This record gives sequence, C-alpha cells and structure tokens, in this order.
Amino acid sequence: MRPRWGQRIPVYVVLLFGTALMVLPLLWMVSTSLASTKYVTTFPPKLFPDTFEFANYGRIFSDTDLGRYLFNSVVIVIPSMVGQVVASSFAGYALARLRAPGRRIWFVVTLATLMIPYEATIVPTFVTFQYLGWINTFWPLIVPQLFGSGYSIFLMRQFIMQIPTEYDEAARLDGLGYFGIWRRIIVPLSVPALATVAIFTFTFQWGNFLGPLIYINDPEKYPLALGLYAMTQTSNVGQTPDWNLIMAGGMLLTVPMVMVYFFGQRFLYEGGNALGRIRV
Amino acid sequence: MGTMTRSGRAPTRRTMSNRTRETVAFYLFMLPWIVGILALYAVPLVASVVLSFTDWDLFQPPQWVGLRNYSSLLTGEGSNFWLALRNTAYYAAILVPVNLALSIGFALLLNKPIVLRRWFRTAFYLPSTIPIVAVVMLWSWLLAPSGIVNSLLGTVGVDGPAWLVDPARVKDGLIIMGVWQLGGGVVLFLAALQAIPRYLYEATMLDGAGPWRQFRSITVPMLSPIILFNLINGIIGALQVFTQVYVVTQGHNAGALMLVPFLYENAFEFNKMGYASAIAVLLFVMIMLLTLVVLRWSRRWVHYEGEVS
Amino acid sequence: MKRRAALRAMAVFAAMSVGLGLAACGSDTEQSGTADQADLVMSIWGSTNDTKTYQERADAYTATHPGVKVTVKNIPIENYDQQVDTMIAGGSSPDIILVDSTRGPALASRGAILDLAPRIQSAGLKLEDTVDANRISGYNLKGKQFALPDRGGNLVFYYNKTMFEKANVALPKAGWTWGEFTEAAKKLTIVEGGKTTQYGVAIDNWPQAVESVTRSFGGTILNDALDGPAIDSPQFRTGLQTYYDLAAKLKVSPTLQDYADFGQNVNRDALFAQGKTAMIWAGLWDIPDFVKQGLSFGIAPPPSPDAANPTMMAFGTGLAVGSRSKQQDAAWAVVQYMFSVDGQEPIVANQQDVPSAKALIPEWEKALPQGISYADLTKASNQVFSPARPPQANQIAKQVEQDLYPFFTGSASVEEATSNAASHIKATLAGS
Repeated sequence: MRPRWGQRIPVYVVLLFGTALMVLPLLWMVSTSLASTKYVTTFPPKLFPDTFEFANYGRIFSDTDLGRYLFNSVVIVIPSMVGQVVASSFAGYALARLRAPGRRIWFVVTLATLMIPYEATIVPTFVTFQYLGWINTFWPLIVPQLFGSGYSIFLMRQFIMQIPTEYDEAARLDGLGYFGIWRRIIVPLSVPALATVAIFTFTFQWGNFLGPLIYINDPEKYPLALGLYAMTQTSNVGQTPDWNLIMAGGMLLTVPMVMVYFFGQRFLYEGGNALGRIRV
Repeated sequence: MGTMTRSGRAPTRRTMSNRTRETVAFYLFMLPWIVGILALYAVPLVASVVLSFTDWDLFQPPQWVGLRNYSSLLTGEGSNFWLALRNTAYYAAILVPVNLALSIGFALLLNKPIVLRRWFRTAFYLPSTIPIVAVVMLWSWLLAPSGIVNSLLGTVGVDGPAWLVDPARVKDGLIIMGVWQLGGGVVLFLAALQAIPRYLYEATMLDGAGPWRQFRSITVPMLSPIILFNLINGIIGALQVFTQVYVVTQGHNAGALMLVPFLYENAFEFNKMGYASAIAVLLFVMIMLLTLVVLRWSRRWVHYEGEVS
Repeated sequence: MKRRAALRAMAVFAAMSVGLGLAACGSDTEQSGTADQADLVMSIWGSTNDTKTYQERADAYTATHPGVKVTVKNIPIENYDQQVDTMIAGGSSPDIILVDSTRGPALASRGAILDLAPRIQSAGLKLEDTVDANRISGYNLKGKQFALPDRGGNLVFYYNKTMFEKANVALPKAGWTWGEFTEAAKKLTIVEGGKTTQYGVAIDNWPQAVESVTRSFGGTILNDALDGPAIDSPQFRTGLQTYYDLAAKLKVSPTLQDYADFGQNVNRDALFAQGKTAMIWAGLWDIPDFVKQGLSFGIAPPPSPDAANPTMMAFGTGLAVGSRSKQQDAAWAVVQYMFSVDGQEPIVANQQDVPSAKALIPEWEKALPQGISYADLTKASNQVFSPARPPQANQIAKQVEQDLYPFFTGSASVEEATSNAASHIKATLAGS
C-alpha cells in the first residue's frame, strides 16, 4: 500500500491536532516545573515563565523527599517486573505446551481472574496482609506480583503457542528436560512477549496509587505517585503548594514511563507480537 | 481446542512415566500462579462474601448480621449505593464506547506509514504516563469555569458549566479526563493491527476493493476479538474508577460518588469492613453478569480465525 | 470463553476456597520497652510548623529522658483517619495519636485508643488545674477520658485592616451584628469591569465555619441527645441560607465555582493571604502565615445574628495513647509531659496555636504579632461552644459535607440538601 500524498494530508492534520492535545499538557508541566516559586501562584499558569529555574530539579532532591519517593518506587517496581516475567512465562509455558489433567480448567480459571475486580478482594487481602504484619511495608505491593497475573499469563501463553513445537522436539532429542526447554528455547524466543509483560508491569506499578494509599502510611515509604499527592496536601495554610517542585517531581514519574514506551514499541508491535493475539 | 488436538497428536510414543513426568512439570511450572489464584483471588473472594454477612470494624471480633448489610445497602433509608451505581453507570456508559471508537480511529491513523511514526505513537501514549496529581491540576485549570475549555465553548456560543465543581457536571469532567487518557487502548489496537496478515489486504486489493470495503471486510473482523477484549477491559476499568475521583473530589462532591470510592470510604475511612465487603460482592456480581452478557452478545460479531481457547 | 467452561471454572474456585477455609485473624498486644527506654511514634496532621513544634516538645522530653525518643509523623489531613486506622490495624499503631473532638470518639468507641482515666487517677493528675473544665469534656466519651487536651483555640474572624481603612469602614468588634457585617462586606467588595477584584468576605463549605454560623442562628447538626438529626430544623436552614446568600445573592463572597477559577487547592485562607478578601472565618493557627505574608490584619469574634447564641466553635486537639501501642507506659509519660505547662511552651513560642494550659494564655496573648489584639475575643469567650459528638461523628461529618455540597454549588435548595443530610444521619446513627 502506497497511498499518495493527497490522501495523507488529512491523516497528518488529524494526528497533529491530536498530538497537540496530548503533548501540550506535558509542555505545560515542563514549564511549570521550571517556574520560580513566586511565579507559580499566578493562576491560570502561563505556558512560558519569565525565567527558567533549572535549579528546581536540584531542589526536589535537596528540599523535598522526592528522591526518597523515587528510590521507593524503584525498589517496588524492579522485583515486581522480575516476578511477573518469570511467573507468567512459567505458567504461560505450562499452559501452552505441557499436557496434564486439568490444564483446560486452569486456563479458563486464568481467564476468569481477569474479571475479578481488584476491589472485590481488597478487604480480605488487606486483612491477610495485616495478619502477616505487612502493613506499612512494600510486601503487599510486591508479593502479589510474584505470582504472575491473568493478563500476562494469557499473553505469554498466546505467544508461546505460535512458537513451532519442532524446536521443543529437537531440544528434547538433545537431552533437555522441561526446564531446559523453557530456558533455552522458550525464553529466548519469547522476548517480545516477555518485554510486553515487563512494560505493562512497569506501567502499572510505577503509577499505582490505590495500593500505596491503602498499605503505606509512613511518608518515608511513599512511592512517587502517592508522595506527589501528599505534597499537594500537606501545604501550609494560606500557601499554594509548591507546584513547580511537584511538577518537577512529576517529571521523575513521567519520563521513565515515556522512555519505556518509546523504546519498548518494537516489542509491543513488531513481528509476531503477543498483544495483537489476545482473545477472550 | 487447537491445543488439545495438537497435544493429542502423538500419544502413543510416550510411556506412562513420561506422561506423569509431564504432569508433574506442568504443576511445577504452574505452582506460583496456582498459589496466586488461591491466595489472591479464590480465598479473598470467598472471604469477601463471608465478611459481607458480618459487622466488623477491624478491632472488635466480627458480628454475624446475616443479610443486613445488603438490605441497608439496597433498601436502607438514605443509602448511597444507588447514587454511586447511577453515577458509575453514567460514567461507564459514555466513557467506554467513546474511548473504544477513538482508540480504534487513532490506532488506524498511527498504523499508517507516516513519518515520525514512533514519535506520534509516543505522543498519544503520553497522557497515560502523567501522574494523577498533575493530570488533575492540569484539568482543574483547563476545565475551570472561566478556563480554556469554556472559553472555546464560548466562541461557539455555548455557556460552559463549572465542570469539576457542579455536582451535575463533575462526571462529565471526569469523562473528558478519561477520554484524554486513552493511550492504553490505542496500544492494544496498534498491536492487533500489526498482527493482521498483509496478504489479506493484498488479496482484496486485487479484487479492486477500496479502503472502506477493506476496513469493513478485513480490518473490523480481524480486530473484533481485540475490540471485545478492550470492551470488557474498558467496562471493568470504568466500573472500578477510583484515583481520579478521589483526587478531584476528595470525597466531598456526591455528584461524583462512584462505587469504588464509596467502597473505599466505608472500608478504610469508616472501618465498616462488612458493609464494604457487601459493596465489593455486588460490584463483582455486576461485573460478572455484564461480562457474560457482553460475551454472549459478542458471538454475533466477533470473528475468530481458526482456533484459540 | 465458553459458558460451560466458565461455570466449571467457577465451581473449581468455590471448591478450592471452601476447602482452604478462611485465614484466622487475631491480634496480640505485648508490651516491650519500659517508660525509660522506648522509640515512640507520634502521628499528627498539619503544617510544617506543626511538625516542628511537636518535634520540639518531644525533644524537650528526650532531653531529660535520654532513653525515650519520639518521631513525629505528619500525615496529610485528608488521609489522616484512614492512615492511622491502617497503622493500628496493621499492628504498627502510633504510640501517641493526635485527635480532635470529631476523630477521637470514633477511635475511642472502637477501643483503638486507651481510656486514660485510670492512669490519670493513679498519677494523681488534676486536669482542671492546668486547663479549663470544658476543654476536658470534649475528650470524654461516656465516662472514658480518651485524650488529654493539647491545643486550645476556637474559630475566629479575621479582617484585613488595610482594606477596612481604605474603604473607611469601622473595624469588626465584639458584639458585631450580622446586619453590620453584611453592610461592611458590601462596601468592601470591589467590582471592576464586571469582575470582582476584591471580595468583602470569603466563605465556602468548610464544615467548621458552617457549623459555627448555623449555630449562631440557633441551629445544630444533631439533636441534644445526639440520637437524631436537627440539621433539617428551621434555625439551621435559615442560618445556612443566610450564610450562602453572601456568595449567591449578595455576591460579596466568591462561590465555589469562583474558587475553581482561582486554581486547585485555593481556599478562603489563601485568598486572605493573597489580599483578595477583606474577611474570613478561620482558625488561630493562620496567624503566623498571615504575618509572614506581610498583611496588616486583626482578629475578632464573628458577627452574631442573635447575642444569645454562641458563634465560635472550639477547636483544639488532644493527645491519645494507642491501645495497641507496645510502649504505652512511655507514651503516657510523654503525653503527660506534653500536657504540662512546660510541655506546651513551644506552642506559644512558635505561634503554632493557642495552648490549652490556662497559665500560658497571657504569655500567648503577649506573643501575638504587633497590632493584633486578643482583647475582643477574651470579652466574647462565652460565645465559644464545644459540640458533643457521637462515635459516628467522623462518618456524619463527611456525609453532611457531601449532602450540603449541592446546596453550596447552587444545584439543590436548602430544604433538599438538609433533608437529605437528615435522612443520612438517621441511617448512620441507627447503623451501629
């Protein structure tokens, strides 16, 4: 397909308009993050401040706890990603390849978990974590990720199903066991799906708000999303919150997510992608 | 079904012990997830049901109260349940179809061989990456009574409302914010478009089919499974909306009282764990029923190529 | 997914869960640490000045008891109840918990904070020697003394002197009538080119101000027995309507819609600080911030529609000991110290608030910034009221705020909003 330019112009017009809607807010966020503290109280804010205070990005580490929030977010996100990737590729492999009584049931159960809202189980889960003494620790945020999730397992299974079984057979003839096949064949060949799972886990955990709101109550343990919210709340009377610092902190949250998406696109979309094969 | 036939292809070559070994391997690989299903879904779900029949404040031992939580939720004087349900239904009924249509539209455009395609795609994903406090700050400015949105409406003679303040309009404000963050749906549709084999288009092009017929006869059917998936996910997500509502209204504006914030305030602000569990159970039942209805309806329009589940 | 399979899956779910049963749940409180050796956590809400002041008071105790350290944790006020509840439920209860008369009863009725009466008795402590008797009763629920009074103070009325002098309007004083007030507010409102550049007064739906103003009209939220609503009484409705008419009818105050144009989280205090309004109802804790902004302002009792009714809700906080704290003895010792005159000294020094200790009041008045007189407020001290609260106070407060919100945004009549609130209150009080 090689449409002519005449056909493409409307496409660009629509996309540019959409892009403006999507990107302008980010520009405004950047400009607010560079505004001086005095300037920030003017409302509505202007898109271009009179002076650019790049020092704000230093101040978020010296004058606020954002450095700590960032660290907390990293501590929560990394084990979550590893756990999701490993657990879901395990289960995805089993569901796609291994024959066992009950396999179909487990597959359907996996799909059914997608329909259980997080909130339906929130109270007992909270009580359980409380019983374990995990309130105000990172465990309630990390541990559930170590089991995988219906969504990622489903993705992995769909992807692994389209890897030719001949590879498994060949590996088996070479004397590899199931674990060996998983490690030598399945993992290397399912990198795009693994990356997709990692990207989704990252996106979910990095921006997670409700989880930390419920489980974390020590301001020193807040992750970024909750810490930023707290910064808008604990302001002194008669003062507007330090929006410039809050927006600079917001960039700490946004930039990694954008970069992950930008560089992860090739895994999400290119050849034999797992996402495109989702079926209910 | 496909998997069953595939695995059933060569049963004779395997001995009994091999089969046992495979079963053991299956359950070993599944172990983390099975534990997860039990610990994070099955047990808590049943526990939610049990708790919903009790009165419990987390401190004193739970009291069995039978159906009282349900009756006071559904028929009690001044119960906010119906209000929360109405608000949530309104929010979902508008947001889900609008988001679905726009996501497909933008995904189609972003799938074209345009220059700077990666950058355009990233731009559409941007709003999903902005922290909620910044999103709310931004929109409370854009949607202020004399804000930009209303100024634009003013130029076409429309007197814009106080979007995020007026109890009658705050839901619309939240919907606008939700539409703006449609990036997640676009990602799925883009991936699905990439997965449509090119030869299908090439074949119809030989038949002389125009773009519209290609869209109708190839793109839509090939996308239909993912439309279904997005539809179900969208419904579940919209019914579960929490963070935006919480940050925008901080629970003071009943015009935006939705089911999950309602659950949250009862469970974690008023410590009414039994009552909150009853809300959770009702929410779950509603989602289950809606999903089954959508699945049944989808048989009429979802096109599956060959196998899969 | 096929439906048969789905049903089978659900059956598997149910079977598994029933088989596993429910996780047992319990809790234990074992004491660790002694009164001389402890690491305590104290939960508070408020500004950075609040954090600083509480930490100073705690450190003063540490200076004489080196084994006891207190960490002050400032929790955003919107999440305070939820976070403290989770900490308690999660087995990491704060040892010392800042409460007020709305939050306290809920925590006390659940047994989350200790009844201090036995400890007060065995320590031979006479609370009346330090603070006014009516401050003590605010922290008492059915004979249980769940907290010691900490900060005092009440709702007051702020006015911007510069604006009053410019408009040549007499300054507010004790005995100010509602009529005089509205006249002044009209004169102080400046409209330029259809846009209000200065408001006479800034009101909104802040519950404490709503409760104080309606009380001055003779209305209360609950009946005297605390077992039913009174929010739908004619007095409450008149008060509420008159209050909101300042914004809706007289246009001498911004409406909630107008606030939305000022920016997120900009409230009446911020407007006063930015010199955009001449008067506000507010707490005494605003004083240091307004001084910092360089405003010339004064404080007075709020205007009164009927001299027989009180106009100023008592604020203040109390200090409670967590019943699941593992270091109750040390926590009680610190609370006792913070209650003492010495322990309250930093409240005055940092101009944080009014101390509850009677002995410190003269010093507090003296410490007020230049030009701010407390004399009129002392004259009106009989206008302070301290509403008694049921254990469900917390939930009722939030419900009332939600129900009055449509009224404040002009989308419900005062009758609709208050009737709605009344039926909710009835249900809540009947509920538990």
